Amino acid sequence: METLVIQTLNGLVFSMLLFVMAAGLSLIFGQMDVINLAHGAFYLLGGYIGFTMIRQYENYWLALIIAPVIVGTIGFIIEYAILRRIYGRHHHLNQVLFTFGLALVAADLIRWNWGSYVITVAAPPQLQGQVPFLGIQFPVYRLAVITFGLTIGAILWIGIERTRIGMILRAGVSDAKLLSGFGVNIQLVFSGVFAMGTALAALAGVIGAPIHSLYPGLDFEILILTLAVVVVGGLGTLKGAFLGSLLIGMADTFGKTFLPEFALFLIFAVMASVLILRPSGLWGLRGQR
Amino acid sequence: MPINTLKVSRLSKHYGGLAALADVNLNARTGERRAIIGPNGAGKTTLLNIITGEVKPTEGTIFLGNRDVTSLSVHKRVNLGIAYTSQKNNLFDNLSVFENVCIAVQQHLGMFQHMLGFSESVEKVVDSALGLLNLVGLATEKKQLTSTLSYGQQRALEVALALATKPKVLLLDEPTAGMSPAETEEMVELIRNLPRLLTLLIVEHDMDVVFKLADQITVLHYGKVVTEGTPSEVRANSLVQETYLGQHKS
Amino acid sequence: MLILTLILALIFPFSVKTYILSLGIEVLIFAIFAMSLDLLLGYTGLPSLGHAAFFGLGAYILAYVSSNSELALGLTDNLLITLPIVILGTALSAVILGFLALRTSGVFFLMITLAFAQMLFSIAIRWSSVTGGSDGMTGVPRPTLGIGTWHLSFTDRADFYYLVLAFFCITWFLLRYIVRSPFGLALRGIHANEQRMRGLGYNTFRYKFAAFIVSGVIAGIAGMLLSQYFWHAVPHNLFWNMSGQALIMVVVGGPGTLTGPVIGATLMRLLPNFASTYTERSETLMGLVLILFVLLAPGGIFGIFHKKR
Repeated sequence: METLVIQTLNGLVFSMLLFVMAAGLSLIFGQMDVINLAHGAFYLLGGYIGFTMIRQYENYWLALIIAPVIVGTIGFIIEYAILRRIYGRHHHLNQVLFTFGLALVAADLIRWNWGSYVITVAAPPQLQGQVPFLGIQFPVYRLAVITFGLTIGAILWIGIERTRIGMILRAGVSDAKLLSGFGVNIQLVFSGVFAMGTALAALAGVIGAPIHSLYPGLDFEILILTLAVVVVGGLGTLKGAFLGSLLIGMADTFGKTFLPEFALFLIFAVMASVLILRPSGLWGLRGQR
Repeated sequence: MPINTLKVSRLSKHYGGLAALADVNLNARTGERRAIIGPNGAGKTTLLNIITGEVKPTEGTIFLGNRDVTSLSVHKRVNLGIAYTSQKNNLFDNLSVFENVCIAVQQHLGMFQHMLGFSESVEKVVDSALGLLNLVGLATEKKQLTSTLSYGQQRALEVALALATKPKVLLLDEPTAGMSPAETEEMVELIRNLPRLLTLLIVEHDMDVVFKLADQITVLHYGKVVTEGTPSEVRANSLVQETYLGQHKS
Repeated sequence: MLILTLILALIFPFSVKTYILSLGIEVLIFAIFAMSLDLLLGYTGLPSLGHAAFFGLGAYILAYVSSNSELALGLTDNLLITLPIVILGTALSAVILGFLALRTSGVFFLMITLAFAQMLFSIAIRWSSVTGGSDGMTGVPRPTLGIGTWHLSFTDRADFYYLVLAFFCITWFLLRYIVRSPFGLALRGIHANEQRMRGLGYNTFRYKFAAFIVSGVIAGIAGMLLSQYFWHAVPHNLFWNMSGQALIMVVVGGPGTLTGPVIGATLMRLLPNFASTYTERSETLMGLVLILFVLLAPGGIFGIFHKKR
């Protein structure tokens, strides 16, 4: 029984991490029709930058803010300078190839700068230790992550549903021309969206670092799971990202606990089942490419 | 082949309270060149869409020869012989003109024939494709990529692709829209050269083109048939003159 | 031109050092792998990021059947038996994966193929009792070919080279036949405008499915040859890095040309050998090369030398 509670909570923690990641990916795809395979690399980059900042300034909270800003800026520059030049026929394919190349470069440069060893990151002192919760002792930090994830979700939801910027985002790719007729600088919006998406990935990276540590290869592992989330949850909706990450987060955590050799197989089985029932994801925008 | 290749009876289409089409009748004989004219919003495109199967009618029937096709899917109607070219070009970019037509012509062979690629059937495909290209006047451009063609040439290629499915009825939706006078002339020539047994339904705004090509004209207004008849009959009709020919700039 | 290449290829083992012969074998194996991906990616336009799945599967299936390690069955090394088994095994997985993945569109297709390969990789690494874990399955013998008393052995490196060359030639001619056939034209039509293909009456799923299976089986055969060459099958064969390499070979070499991937394979197997003497950042280099070609030369190296008509 205890294991069940612990693993359920762990699953929730991981789901929140995945949610922040998936929200970023979904945002980029839903609004810009761009698939970003470097998303995992941005996660890792955010984590490593956060680690360096913590080591430098001994302040976790600073890192939590600065790392996403730095990575978001990098994302903005990449979109502005390069990504937007990839359009026309086969643009999906070329985006994939470009972001894949980007991921390769980023992963290698990260390894060059920070080495190949596993780096552990400590949680901020205010959130260390364990507390009694639902009959077990559970790390404070992880509880904080759950809360934080839900908060981010709420902020994103309000931002998208209630603000003018959100309205622009919801209009999406199809109405881009219409929007520019209203004086909206669509190119800027796209760069901003991409920056936001990558910033979210970096944020997830900083949050996740105390739990999963940092090492080369993590970028790819998290990318796979994030992709699983959007396949299952559907692309383009916050709800899909949220519910999808719950599904995959739980499947992964329980899979690793009870069937360690086949954890990923379980994820794939979940993906396969969803695809048979609904090829565009359970809560995705219908009629998506 | 029965006399009436295409018979549309009491066709109506209502969108809520709005009647896009009301009680439209149209009988096109085999080989007839039927033009459909009318002001914008008269229901011309809706009529074509219902005949192709993209849109379901609220009432009425469509007969292709002796066959009731009213409830059949687009796909099935294509296979039975209804072909359609729209105003938007939807070609295979980055493939040559010849390859575009071959793809359309070879379709009926099926996948296994495609894989085995017997030289006999491939030869037949090649011959048909070349024949079609000659017919629409694109024989010399056959090795060019479709992206290098002019707009008029692309429309001609679209007609070739439609013909590749060996249709009995060909629906042309504003074939000369957006064309220069020279291109329009070429398109008119092309349509004139189409097989005589092929029944044509042409939606057009350009009255010169209509009077050059049509055997019969159906005039639509507010979803109803105002009148139909030969070009001279229609030209002489006072109602048409008032409501349509008068306003129309050609 | 072709005759000349063929002659050169045939006398190759006698005229070069063993080191170069080894490289030659590697290049040919990866050329087969890259060509199989080209059918899928270059011709049909299906961006598979998990093609290493079939590559690695071929390696592991062969290893399981042939290897004399305790984990494996160690049945036989006779190609007359092992080859059909590899083909069957990879075809079956291609059917399953294809059925799942092809019902989705480009973006999802990519993600599923990637996830599938990664899943196989993680099984290979974790299920040590069956797959040998991160060490993989060792003890894979070079193949033989024989019926009854007639018997050919390919243990010697030069002999193995000829075997690989034979497979390469068969693959080359088979794929050329496919892409030049009406079936190949249909694939290119699907790549150019799938919606129009359906409008013309094509069941595009069937065509993609067929291409997927052929492509997977050929990749599996390449994997089989690799495990026979290196005497082992390892999880790295399934790793996304391997899928990525194949992708780069196709894109940089020239997608949709068959010759391009061969060029790409040659480059990708030769360059790291040279590059790693100068720098450790060969991955960054690979990534940059890919990016450069995607942005500036989408036709790949082949495209640079053969300007489109």
